[in-house]
Amino acid sequence: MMKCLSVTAAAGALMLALTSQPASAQKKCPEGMKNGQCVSPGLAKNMRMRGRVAAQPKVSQTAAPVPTADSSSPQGTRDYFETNRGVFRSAPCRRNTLGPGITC
Amino acid sequence: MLVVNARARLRGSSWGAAVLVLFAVALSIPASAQTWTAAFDTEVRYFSWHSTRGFPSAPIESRGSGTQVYAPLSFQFSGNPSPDAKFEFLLRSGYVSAKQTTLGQSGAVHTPTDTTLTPTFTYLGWDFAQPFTSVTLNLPTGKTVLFGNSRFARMDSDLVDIPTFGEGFNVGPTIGANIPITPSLILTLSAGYTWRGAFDKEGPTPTPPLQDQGTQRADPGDVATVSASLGYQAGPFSAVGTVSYSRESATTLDAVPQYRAGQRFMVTGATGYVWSDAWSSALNASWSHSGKNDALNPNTMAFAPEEFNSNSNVYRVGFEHTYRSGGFSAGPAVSWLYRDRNGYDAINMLFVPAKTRWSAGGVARYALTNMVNINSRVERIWTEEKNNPEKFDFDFNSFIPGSAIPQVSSRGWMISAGATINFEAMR
Repeated sequence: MMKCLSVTAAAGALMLALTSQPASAQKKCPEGMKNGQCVSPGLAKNMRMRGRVAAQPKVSQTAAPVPTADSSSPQGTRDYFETNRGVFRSAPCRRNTLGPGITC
Repeated sequence: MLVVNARARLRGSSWGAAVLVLFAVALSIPASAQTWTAAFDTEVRYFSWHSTRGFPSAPIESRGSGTQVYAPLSFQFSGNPSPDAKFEFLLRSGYVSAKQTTLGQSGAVHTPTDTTLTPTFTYLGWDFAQPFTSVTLNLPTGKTVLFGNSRFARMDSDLVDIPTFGEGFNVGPTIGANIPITPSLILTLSAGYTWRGAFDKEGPTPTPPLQDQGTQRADPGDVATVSASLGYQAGPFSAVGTVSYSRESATTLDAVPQYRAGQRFMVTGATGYVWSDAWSSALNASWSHSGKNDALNPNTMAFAPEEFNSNSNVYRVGFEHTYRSGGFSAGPAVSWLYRDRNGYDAINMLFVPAKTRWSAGGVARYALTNMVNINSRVERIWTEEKNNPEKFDFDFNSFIPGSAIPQVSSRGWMISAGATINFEAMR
């Protein structure tokens, strides 16, 4: 775990170091650029959130790391979390096959 | 065990401090003009259900029912501390009050949920990719030990939002990148590891009942996941798809290994289309498959794949159609979920029958002001779990009388109302 945390912390520190340099040209794109054009900001934000939550399928059973509004909207990540819940939560609770229901 | 717990707390507090330092540094970085946005949103969700059985289903015939009031809340803010960087922070928590009223299975719990903190840093200075890193911390502010009958407040996750009320301290670092193929077509790759800390839960129900129940130390398996997503958005059309793959380490109870969950694949997709200024539609679907678990062989004390797959495949489809006029929007929403039977023979104790869940209802949203949006949702829920036949005792070479559970039919309601408040500030 410490190796993973170290890599993540190092990546965060690297980004801070890179971004704390004074910028010569003030870009106006909120989510970066591609071929001189702004990347679609709504799409980029949504994709980053999907990447983040997809990589953490079991991080919290009661407080999924998405905004409340997104967790209740089919257009957000509800499909992901509902399926996640169906996979990870119900099966061990319905049948204590391997011990006294760790996640129940 | 104490040493392990102390280390866990030390790691947690160290990481928490590091997050706060990074957070403070991000805010202190000078820039000519920074726009920071913040949003607070909360809802109150009320669930009510009744069923031909309580939960968990028991062979004894007894109709079940229950209610849950769940109030999630989240606070998020984001901004660009420099033109090449983005910082986002999300806090999520809530409160839940749950009660099952089933003969012999009645219990209630009122508690805060766990709390998660998720800072995310994104570097925007490259044309070919925008890498990001984040860490999600699950703070154990919920309740994990439910003595006596209060354990029956844990209800079916197909009928209520919160089927369990807490777990241990979790740390989930993630590294990934948005890779724009064009400005409106993005490939996202990510990898994460979830270290799931140990926590206490109530022990088995004592017999005779005058004994103290005691607790057990549960240590759920850690999870390593990689994922890839592809998203497109241009004009009235949008679509996104995600595939992910997870592996998990062993779960232990009082330091005794119990099982190791099988490798898991998941595919999700969503698409939306804006037909006109007034009408739009959204469709989403997902599929999940888990391989065989590894079970502990008591003779060799080594893990080996279980005989058949005790996990089910899960399929889900949801659809929403929305009418918009000014700041008001509303429309119907439906969903279907199917969890197929697992791989064991129906007379085996490990058999889990197939289950189907449907929901139909409607959503409405209204922009009160530029800053405040309110929303409401009503859903009727139906679930049907196939019959679970009489079990066979291989030691005595006979069926176990009264072990069958007939088809379980459940009906429920979900009603919610909430608000989102948005803030924007220039620094």
